[in-house]
Amino acid sequence: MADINLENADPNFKYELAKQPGGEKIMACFTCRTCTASCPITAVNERFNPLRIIRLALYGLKREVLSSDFIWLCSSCYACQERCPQGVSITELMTLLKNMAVKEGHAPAGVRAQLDLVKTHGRIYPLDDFDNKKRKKINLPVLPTSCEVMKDLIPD
Amino acid sequence: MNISPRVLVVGSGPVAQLAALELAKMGHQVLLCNQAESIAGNKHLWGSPDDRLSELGSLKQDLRDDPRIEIMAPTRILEFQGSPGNFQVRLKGNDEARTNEVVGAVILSIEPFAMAHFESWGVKESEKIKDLSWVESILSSSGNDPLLSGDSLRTLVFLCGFTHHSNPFSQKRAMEAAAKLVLEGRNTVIFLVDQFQVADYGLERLTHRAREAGVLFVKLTGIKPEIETGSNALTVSYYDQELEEKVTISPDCLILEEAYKAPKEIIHLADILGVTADRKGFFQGDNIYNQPIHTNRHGIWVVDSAKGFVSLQEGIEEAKAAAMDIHQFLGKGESITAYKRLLFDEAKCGKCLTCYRSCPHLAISYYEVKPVFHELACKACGICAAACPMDAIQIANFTDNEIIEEIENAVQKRHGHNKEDNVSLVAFCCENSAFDSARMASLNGLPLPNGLEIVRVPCAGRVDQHYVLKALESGADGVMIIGCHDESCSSVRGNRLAKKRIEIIGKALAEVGLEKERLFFESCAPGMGWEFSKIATKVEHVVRELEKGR
Repeated sequence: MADINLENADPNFKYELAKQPGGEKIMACFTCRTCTASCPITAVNERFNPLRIIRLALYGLKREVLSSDFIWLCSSCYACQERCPQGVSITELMTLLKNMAVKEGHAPAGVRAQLDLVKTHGRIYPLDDFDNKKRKKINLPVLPTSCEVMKDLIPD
Repeated sequence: MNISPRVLVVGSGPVAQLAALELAKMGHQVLLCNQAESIAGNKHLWGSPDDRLSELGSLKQDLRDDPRIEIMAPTRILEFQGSPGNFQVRLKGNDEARTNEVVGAVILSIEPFAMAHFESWGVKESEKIKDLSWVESILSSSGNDPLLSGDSLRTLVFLCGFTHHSNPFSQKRAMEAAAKLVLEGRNTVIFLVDQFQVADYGLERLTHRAREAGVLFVKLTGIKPEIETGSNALTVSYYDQELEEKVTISPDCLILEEAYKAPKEIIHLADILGVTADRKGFFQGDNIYNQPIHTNRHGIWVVDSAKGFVSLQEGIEEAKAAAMDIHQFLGKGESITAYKRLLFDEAKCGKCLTCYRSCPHLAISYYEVKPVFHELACKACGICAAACPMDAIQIANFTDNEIIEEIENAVQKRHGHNKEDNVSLVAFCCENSAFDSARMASLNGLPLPNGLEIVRVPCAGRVDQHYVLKALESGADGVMIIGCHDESCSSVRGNRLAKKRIEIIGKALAEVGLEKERLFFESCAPGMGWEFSKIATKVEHVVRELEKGR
């Protein structure tokens, strides 16, 4: 990756995070690396670790954080959050960052496709007539294949 | 013995002033003198307003109101002689007037000065590169400095603990300034740090506070950031160990932490006062007997940062302790000391003044080429007695005759036993360390050589060369002097003198055909029975090997 230049940093980013649920204590981080040591994702690939995200956020590198793959790779196992000696809600911070990323248009393709599915079908796996035929065979009720109410719940 | 209850306090800081006040309260006349321009105090050491302790509040007024305190500034000490309780000081005022004063004791409280290491970063102080003092003056002036006013965002970088092992206090100052400069998020403050010490009151809490205010601490272990200065541009770049990437910042201001240095006058003054100073130019040195507020010269106390940086809180405690010590010593102008510990035979004296030069406690001065012994300063270590070529000085209970008799008795006692099996060893043991360990070893039944005889001496430096020769002459197979470890000798250099003497005698022995390996100098701390046992067993083994070879 290219060198980091803080000229493009947004100094208000950390304060912005600190105002929202999950980011309150982000500035308490004292880089002990306990989160990194606990993280099952880091065990697979060292490039991805929670501390890196926190450090980037503290530098104010908003774009780098929100476009980072890690926030989506996070398995939400809560190991880091449980062990953080400074009480940083790391897993909840990841949720917050995911929400911010979607708002800023940084969501990965898979997540966007899933969103479309939920929007049109009301569930994460599409259901069609073939499925209903099979359900009838074993005397299960027919399920609707589309969900109009979702369109109201998730506006464009 | 009649002594002067006046006290000379050298220094201008709050601690010197407090010490003067404490002494005045106890009824002593105090001379407060300083080489600086005025009794003002180094502002860097006062710390932030939170640090100003309540007891220092009305210090200056109390100082001027007290009739027992005579403030004489600026003044220089030209000459200093005499003994504890009766020092003669020659002072020179600003107006070239010289005065002679007699004081009973001295407190040294000279303050260090703060200095940023611009050179070691290869930069000069400029518009964008500043030291901590400058930032503090901006913060305290509450003015309209561009750093503080306006809404535009600025990036500030602090450098801390790179060019020297910084001390907790300068880090405290840097962190306080950093926390203030964040200005509720209007500035970005990045605090680059290498050696970080949080071992002081409230520092851990301050670190927390600064971090939560928005200061970003970045620790760079062993890597110095690079500073590039161009035409009106400044960039700082470093390798971030958490991100594993190089980070480049273009700060609006780069702030360097400051180190505390000893002023040159300390070395100069140490020379005049006859007290030790360390490599960095502070008073006191490393000898453990001087810790925390004593010097090698009885009657001179050193407090606060004159002996290496301590916090203001510690400095105040030390000033009070020194004042109490001095009051105990000077009291109402009388002091009681042991009588005739040092026996001087004037008829034997060759007037060579070797004693004056060798005394580590500065307890000997001279008057018309005749030594004068100051009983209050004398610790009866016997270094002068060993150094005296005419044996004109004796120490009570450790006279030449008594020690030689002890050596002869010891070795002859051995001769009565089976000589075939045993080697006869004589160990001169310093009563401050090795004698205690030897007793412990024998009481605890630790392995000791059969032929070992202990001779007690007041200090390893008491062992005269002819004691060692006498022991060998009487039939000892090996001789050892066991003294204290370096910087643990209560007589400053008694252990080093003993070691040197062993080397000299060893050379002489080699010339007459006796192995110099029969002589040993060893160091042993008090209360270390097993260590003494190890030393003695080792020596026995070496001597036994030598005996076999004969």
